[in-house]
Amino acid sequence: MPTYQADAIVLRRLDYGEADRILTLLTREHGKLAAIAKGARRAKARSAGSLDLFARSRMMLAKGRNLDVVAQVERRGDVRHISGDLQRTAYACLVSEIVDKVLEDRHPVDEVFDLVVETLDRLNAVDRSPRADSAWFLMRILDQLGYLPQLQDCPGCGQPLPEASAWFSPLLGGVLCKACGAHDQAGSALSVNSLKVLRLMAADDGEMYGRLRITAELLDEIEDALEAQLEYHLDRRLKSLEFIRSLRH
Amino acid sequence: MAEVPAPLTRVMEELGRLPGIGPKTAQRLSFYILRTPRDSVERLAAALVDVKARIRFCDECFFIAEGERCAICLSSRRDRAILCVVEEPLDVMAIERTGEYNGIYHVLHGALSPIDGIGPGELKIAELVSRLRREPVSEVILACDPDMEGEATAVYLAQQLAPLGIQTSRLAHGLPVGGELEYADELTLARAFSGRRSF
Ligand SMILES: [Zn+2]
Ligand SMILES: [Zn+2]
Repeated sequence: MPTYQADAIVLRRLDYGEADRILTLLTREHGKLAAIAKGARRAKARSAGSLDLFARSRMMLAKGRNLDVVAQVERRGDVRHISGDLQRTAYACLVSEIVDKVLEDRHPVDEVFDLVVETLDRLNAVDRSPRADSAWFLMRILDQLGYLPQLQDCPGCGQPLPEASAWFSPLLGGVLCKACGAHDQAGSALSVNSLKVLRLMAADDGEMYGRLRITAELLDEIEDALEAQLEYHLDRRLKSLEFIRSLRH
Repeated sequence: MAEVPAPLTRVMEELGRLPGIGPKTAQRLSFYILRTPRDSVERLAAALVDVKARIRFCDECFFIAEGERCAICLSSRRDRAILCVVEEPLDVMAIERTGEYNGIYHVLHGALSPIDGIGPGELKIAELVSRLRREPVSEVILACDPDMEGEATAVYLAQQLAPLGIQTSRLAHGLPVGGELEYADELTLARAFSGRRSF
């Protein structure tokens, strides 16, 4: 059987047959693909940890008739601190779910692979805020998809937005001026500070974003806006988000 | 192309709904059934109907039972001060095989899995909490699988149980990370039990 190598991250796992698992992998070289890991559920298997959710490894895969088969794994990333932390696990699930939904099979996008690696590394760092890091991921993935929210001019009337509190409309894909915002039912309020942070994020200023201390109230508004924007464009509810929201309340 | 007769399609569809059975396996199994003598197919069908009619989940711990309570909950020889929480009924069987554990169980019927939309409400967690309020349990062992979802579930449970003031412990590592309890060999599982550490 011909084999190939790939840098791979486990996005999803599904039990299959006696003790096998079907993995959804995000690979740098070949994009998203499904592969079967034989015997992965037997706890004795040494590779089990390398095949857990979010694990990153250098893999050798063998071409199979239906699904390719995981032949060898060599651990690369570390997700130790995501494990056993409910919030970090939930946000890592959100990253996996989104990437699984937005990517087509076998269609590699380097920027998305790098973004996922970076985000999982950040979620694994105990001194970082998983909420802030996941919000950054949301803005970057929206950017990748071409759905960056409109934050400079009102998408309703085209007027430049003043630096003031405003209304975020997922339907119109951006921040509305006061006059237009009054007619929009679906959406959420944004304080002026949230708007400033969103602009910084949209401009891909990671360095500045990393230096900000974002309060929980601001994060609530920023997350509401970005999550609504993404769910609107994907036209579906994200299951991980429902879980995360249930943790918040 | 010849059309597949409806009764055969129906068998393939039903088998294809079983976990771990893809369309190809469902096809293979269906043709196997076609070739099998009538009486053994009838035995299989009767066994399926019978198990559904006579086996249910225990009202108390949600392990398999023939009546309202399972054999473990009914036994007078079990130590009711110690309760072990597992994800699946098969995990109870794996632990029972070690012969190392004499307490009672609680089966969650799954693990928290945000991607699949499985939150606390989908598991037997509220039932566990109300059970612990009622019963004189002094130690809870969280024996969720040693993988990402299992760890998340254990941490969530520990948070939920903290206000009850019951000693909570987690199976010792040595169980390979990323694996499943049900597949651990007896010696490893027995060791994990005796080396359990408090949360
Ligand atoms: Zn306007
Ligand atoms: Zn019982």
